[in-house]
Amino acid sequence: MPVLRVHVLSDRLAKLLQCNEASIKVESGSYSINELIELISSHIHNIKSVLEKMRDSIFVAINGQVRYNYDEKIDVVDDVKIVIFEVGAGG
Amino acid sequence: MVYSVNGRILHVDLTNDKVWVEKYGNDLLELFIGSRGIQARLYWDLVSPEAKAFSSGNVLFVGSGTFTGTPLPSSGRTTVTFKSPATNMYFKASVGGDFGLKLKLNGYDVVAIHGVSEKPVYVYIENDHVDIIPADKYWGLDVRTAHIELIRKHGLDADTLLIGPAGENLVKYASVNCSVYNVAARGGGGAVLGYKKLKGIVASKGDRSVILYNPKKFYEKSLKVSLNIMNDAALVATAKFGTASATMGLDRTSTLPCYNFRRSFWENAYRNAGEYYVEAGYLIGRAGCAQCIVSCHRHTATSKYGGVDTVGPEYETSNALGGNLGNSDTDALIKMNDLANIYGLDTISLGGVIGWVMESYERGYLKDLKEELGVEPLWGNVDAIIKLIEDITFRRGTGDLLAEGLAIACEKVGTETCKWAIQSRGLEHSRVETRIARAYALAFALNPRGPDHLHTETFAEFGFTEEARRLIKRLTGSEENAGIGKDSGRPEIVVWHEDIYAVTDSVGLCAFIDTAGFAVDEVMLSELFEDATGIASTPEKIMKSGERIVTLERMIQVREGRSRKDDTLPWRILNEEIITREGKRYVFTEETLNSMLDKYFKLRGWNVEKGIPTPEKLKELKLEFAIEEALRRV
Repeated sequence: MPVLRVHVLSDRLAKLLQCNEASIKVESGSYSINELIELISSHIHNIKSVLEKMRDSIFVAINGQVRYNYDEKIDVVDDVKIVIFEVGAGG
Repeated sequence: MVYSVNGRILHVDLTNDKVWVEKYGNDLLELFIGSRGIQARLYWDLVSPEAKAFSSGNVLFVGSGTFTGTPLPSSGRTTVTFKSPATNMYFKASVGGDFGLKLKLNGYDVVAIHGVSEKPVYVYIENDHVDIIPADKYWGLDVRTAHIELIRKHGLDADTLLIGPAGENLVKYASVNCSVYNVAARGGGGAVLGYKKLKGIVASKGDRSVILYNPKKFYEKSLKVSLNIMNDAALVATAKFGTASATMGLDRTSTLPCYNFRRSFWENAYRNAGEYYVEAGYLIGRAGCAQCIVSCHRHTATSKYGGVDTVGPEYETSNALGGNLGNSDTDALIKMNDLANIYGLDTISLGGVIGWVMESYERGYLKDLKEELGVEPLWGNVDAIIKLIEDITFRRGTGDLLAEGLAIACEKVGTETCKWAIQSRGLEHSRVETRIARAYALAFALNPRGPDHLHTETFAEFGFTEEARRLIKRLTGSEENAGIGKDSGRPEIVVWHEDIYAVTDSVGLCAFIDTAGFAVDEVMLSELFEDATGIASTPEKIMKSGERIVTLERMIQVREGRSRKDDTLPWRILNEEIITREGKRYVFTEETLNSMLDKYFKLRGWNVEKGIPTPEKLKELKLEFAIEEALRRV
């Protein structure tokens, strides 16, 4: 079974989610990002409410690409790397 | 008695092989705060408006901030001021690292480099002992190699300010590098030093210390600032992911310029993001400038290209040489960044020039480049980009023309190509979409440097964080003015940011902590200034000093021929629309710009028609010496 390897990069966000990393086994198949988040919420319980509240300042990268459309389908055959982080500053 | 500074300016005359020290007191410090302000005042006296950038009359100033060398975090910035060969006008650049601190501990707040040497030299400073030393054996070396050689000679606790081959070859966007990887990048300061035949300055560790007027109070406030930094969301992200952590915020808001400003977001943006450098294992460490607890510099490495171990890329580099060129190859980006570091090149201008090359080639111009480079300069072709960096640095083939910058190159290749040369007044545009981020647009049009962010960083307009939204409410009366694509309140946002940025630069603080993050405001700045120097201050007074510096810089450029007609933006920004991720179309017309400029000049109390400070305003700001010039120009 493929594994969703979730990594919360931002420290503040990790504190909010009370989690840095999680590994979740899932059935192979096609999932929307919303569905993946639903699966992740079994391990990171408040992820849905945090994402809802901070939607504009949180990013979800799936296998090295940030996705904005949470209805987009992802084929899960092998392990998937999911990285979650908060918006930064710059210059 | 002066506190927190040395009250000493070191003059070095390369033509006559002479050095001397000029002293100053609290009167100058009170009016002009420190490095940037004092250098602008010196520039007014010492650089004639007729002096060419490449002439013995151009004086280049380097100086540390008033708070540099104190325990205040992020206070290690150094200002470099000169007449720019890119814009032919007054130009200031700011740089981190440890060099400014070393300069201060040797007893000098500013070094003024006059004249031109006949042969390559460098300046060595060890307290009261200052030498002009032949540099033939260092001329031609890249920045990193020259730094290592000079540190071997003068001791591990010394530090350097150096130019690389790009500066020696008078590339008009050659940088001045401090401690190798900290770069006063913009405006071609490196070429000014190259023309002077000055490889750089080496400062010993220095034996002086910084004496504060009220150390106890200053230390207490420094601790408060440290806590503010640690609690600021944007600064926490910058500490962990570097400045390139801005990438995804800009991508989401469609303000990330890609493909030479033809797109404002990009599906591969994450490959240019600070978070990706961490996720994919490119980051091997973090580094900070003197007294900095943010440590935004990235220590990165790749095993590709024979192995690269370097510092960066910063956000601007990540975008200028990344999405701007359709480059999602992070290994190649790290290599390009390292080449720019060691050759001494401004990556913003470099990316702007190469983006124009790629678009021109696509449109049927510069067709000989395929044969010349051995590869086609197509979007995302990293071999072509690397070859162009080499050719520009050493002025080989077409690289010789590209080394002159976009304003000159596009005229030579065909006036039509100037429409996609993203520059104005000789400076290539920084990496934010100004058709959508409109405080940036106004700030870029007014900036004495050109269309660039490091004079008036109006990051708060995005409203990414709670702190940013609070600031926008304070400046404009409504939090609704935070966000993209808005015109409302932009002149007010720009005026405040210009003024506080002038103070920030002058005291040697990093602008990230008050204009990207919000750990310090004008109340804290004024209290720190009073505790450091013993000069009575208030928030209003410190911001008035900022206004004084901004107004003096405007007057310097007015004397050099600038007026409102020059307050403009690149052709593409003013004439072509940009489409957001959601399909919304934005144009930023001259009418919009003019309406903002009218409001801005009124707020400033300047002549609205010509954008020249009025005699009354100059008198109010104690800039009476500039009144005659203002009257002559109006």
